[in-house]
This record gives sequence, C-alpha cells and structure tokens, in this order.
Amino acid sequence: MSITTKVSETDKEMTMVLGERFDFSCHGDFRSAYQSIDPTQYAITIDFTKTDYIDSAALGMLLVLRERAGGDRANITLKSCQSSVQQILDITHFEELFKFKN
Amino acid sequence: MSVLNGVYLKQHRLPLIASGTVLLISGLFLTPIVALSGFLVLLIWVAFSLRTAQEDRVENAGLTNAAERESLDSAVHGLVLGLDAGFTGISHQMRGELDSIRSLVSDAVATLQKSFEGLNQQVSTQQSIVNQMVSGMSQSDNEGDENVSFSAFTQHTDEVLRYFIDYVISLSAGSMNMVGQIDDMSDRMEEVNKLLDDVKAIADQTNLLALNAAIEAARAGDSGRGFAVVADEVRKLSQRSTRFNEEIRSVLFSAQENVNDARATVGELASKDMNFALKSKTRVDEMMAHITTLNQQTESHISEISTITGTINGHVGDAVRSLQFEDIVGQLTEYTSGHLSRVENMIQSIDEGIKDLRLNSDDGIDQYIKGLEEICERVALLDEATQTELHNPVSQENMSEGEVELF
Repeated sequence: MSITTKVSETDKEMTMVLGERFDFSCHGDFRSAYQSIDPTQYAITIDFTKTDYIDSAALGMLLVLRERAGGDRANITLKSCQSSVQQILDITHFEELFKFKN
Repeated sequence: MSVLNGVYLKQHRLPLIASGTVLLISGLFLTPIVALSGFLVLLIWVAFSLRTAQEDRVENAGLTNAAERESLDSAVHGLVLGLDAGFTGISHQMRGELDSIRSLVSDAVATLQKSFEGLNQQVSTQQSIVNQMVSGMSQSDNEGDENVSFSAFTQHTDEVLRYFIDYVISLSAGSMNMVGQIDDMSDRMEEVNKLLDDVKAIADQTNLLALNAAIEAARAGDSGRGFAVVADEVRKLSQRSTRFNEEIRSVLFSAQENVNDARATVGELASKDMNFALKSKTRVDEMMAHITTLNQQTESHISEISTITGTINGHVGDAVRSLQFEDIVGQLTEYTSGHLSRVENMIQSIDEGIKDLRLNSDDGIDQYIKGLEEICERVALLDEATQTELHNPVSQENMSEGEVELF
C-alpha cells in the first residue's frame, strides 16, 4: 500500500502519508482513504515527505478531495513538499486552494 | 671734439637709441602702446642729448662754429627723415596685416558658424529620434496597443501557458471523478455477480427438487404420471434458469472488461507528466527576465544618449556664442589702426616742426633747443587730444558667458 492513513476520531484529524510516487496508480488507495471518513468534518493533512514525483492525475485527485471536503470550506494541508513537487504545485497556483506546511 | 657729432653719440648714447629703436620697431608689431613707448624713449633721448649738449657747450666754447651747426642740423633732420621713412613702411605693412587678420578671422568665423549650425541641426535630429524611441518604448508597454512588442508576446505566452495548465488540471480532476464513478460501477457489478450466485443456488436447488419429485412420481406408478410431467417441466425451468444465469454472468463479465478498459483510458488521459509545464514555465520566466533586463538597459542607454545630446547642445551653444569674438577682434584691430594713426600724426607733427627749425648762426643753440622742446610739447598735446577720441570701446578680455551682453 503506497498510502498509509492515520485517523484520529477524537481530534477529527486524518493524515495521509504518500509514497515516493503520487500518481494515477494511487487513485484507489487515496479514494478509499478519504471515503472511510466524512471529509467535510475532518482536518486532512497530506504528507509529501517521501514523495518526489506527482503527475496531473495526482493534482486531479487533490482537487476532487477538496471538492468532497466542501470546496472553499475544506481544511486540507499539504505538508513537507520537496522542491520538485513544490515547483509543480506553484505553477498550478495550488497555494490559492490548499494550506502549505513545511 | 664736438659733443654732438656722431662719435660722441655712438660712444655715449648708442645703447639708448638702439633699445629705443628696437622697442619701437618690435612694439609696432605687438601693440601700439609699446610702439609709442619706444617712440617716447627716442624723443627722451633727443631731448636729453640736446640738454647734455647745452651743458657741454658751457664747458666747450668752440661748439658753435658753422660746420658743427651744419652737422647737428643734418643729424637731427636725418634722424627725423629716417624715422619717418622707416615708420611709413612699417605702418603700411601693419595696416595690411591688420586687414588680413580681419578677413582671416571673418572667413574662419563664417565657416565655423556654418559647421556649428550643421552640428546643431544633427544634434536636434538625433534628439528627436531618441525621443521617438523613448515614447515608442513606453507605448508598447500599454495594453491594447496594436503593435505587438516582444514583452507583450511573452506575457501572452505566459497567459496561454497558465490557461493550458488550468485546463490540464481541471481535465484531470474531472477524469479522477469519473474514475471514482467507474470504480463504484465496478463494485455494483461485483454485487450483481454475487446476486447471480444466489440465483444459481436457487436454480440448482430447484433442479434437485424436480429430480426428487420425478423419483417420487415414478414410485407412485400410473397415478403419479401427471406429476412426473410437472416435475420434468420444473427441472427444465431450473436448467433454463441456470443457462440464463450463465448468460447474464458472461454479459456482466464483458461489461466489467469494458469498464476496466474505460478506467484505463480515462486514467491515461488524466496522468500527464507535469514537468512539461514546469519547463515551459521556466523558459517563459527566463524570457521575461531577459526582456526586462534588455528593456532596462535600452532605457538607460537612451537616457544616457539624451543627456549626451543635451551636453553637446550646450557646448555648441557656447561655441556659437564664442564666435562673437569676431566682433571683438574687429574692434580691436580698428583700435590698433587708431593707435597707428596716432603715431603717424606724431611723426608728421615732428616732421613739420623740424622742417621749419634751422640752427641759424644768429640764433644761439638755446633757441634751437627751445624749438625742439616746443615740438616735443606740441606732439604731446596733439597725442593727448587724439587719445581722448580713441577711447577703447572693447574692454572685454575673455569670452566667458556672463560678459556676452557687452555686444
């Protein structure tokens, strides 16, 4: 499993730690991770520490998650992005849609 | 020995006369003032030597013989005539030279004026070109300008790139949504598959039940024949149900395959390497930075050129203003001519005075000296009169800016 998920029911927090590659092949895992909870009720952190490659499908998945988590009301943080990932997130202006944390 | 003969003069006053003459001649070429001073030195020498002669006469009573008078007379006349002749030549030459100075200066000034005017014209043309360039550059920065500048083009490229990236991402998001729906559909099909298993179990059980019924019907003999027919029909129905179940399953299986294909296709569409966007974006950013630097450089160069042009304009203006020195030179040469006339008048006056003055035997040497002194006084008075007429109108000594209004 390329994505490990940690859920805290009491704090209403969920953390997804991604693998080296975050691409289309992760779709099933990613989807079932956020489908296991009600994403509108949780603060979701996606940990990119290990990730050095993302493709457009990954960006699409993040946008779908944001939509599911309530669009503009969503509370999603992208954590510890490496520069290769950060550059792509920068040119796609994701800083307007997500919170970033080192 | 006579005190007024040539030997005496040569022995005692030669340095004075020599320096006076040298001062006069050299001064004529330099300034009339120096020439005048040379001439005055000569006059002083004449007066001084005559006074010395008078004193000597007291000591030497043998002075007033006819031969000596004659020789004194001719010496004085010879001196004045020589002076007159020499000066006439020099003054003629000087007037010629003054004229040629004036014409040379006037020619040169005309040429300079023309070339400075040309320079001025070129500089203002250059300035207007520079201004056009500056206004051209600022215009191309405005939006909606029909002239597409390089920076506007790059900006446009950047916008297109951004639009494209947004499009790819929204396509990906839609695709991922669709993939989720396909996955849901797959799950539903799996559920249908499970339901079909239940249907198959029912059919199998029905088949078994029909088989049992047929056995029971056979045991009942003739009375069970009708029941045997029903049991057979029920068995056929269960077999049909099983076949039907198999058909549905195979259709479902191929539908599942189609759905999987669709998932793969959508996935392929959605999975684009984003490095292309990264590279394009980097390239556009580099181009923008380059253009910005280029624009800044061009602007600073243009403003430098503008400053230089302004400075050149100033210099040309100064030069043109300085060309008014022609007027000063003209007036100075005129003034010099006036001084020359002064000297000429003095010489003429001396000449006339000397012509009438003869050292006669009846008159004493005192009379003669008195005559000479009168000539001296007349000359001095005449010069004073002409000097007041010749007030120098040009007091300017340099061509610096503030004093130009003097003309």
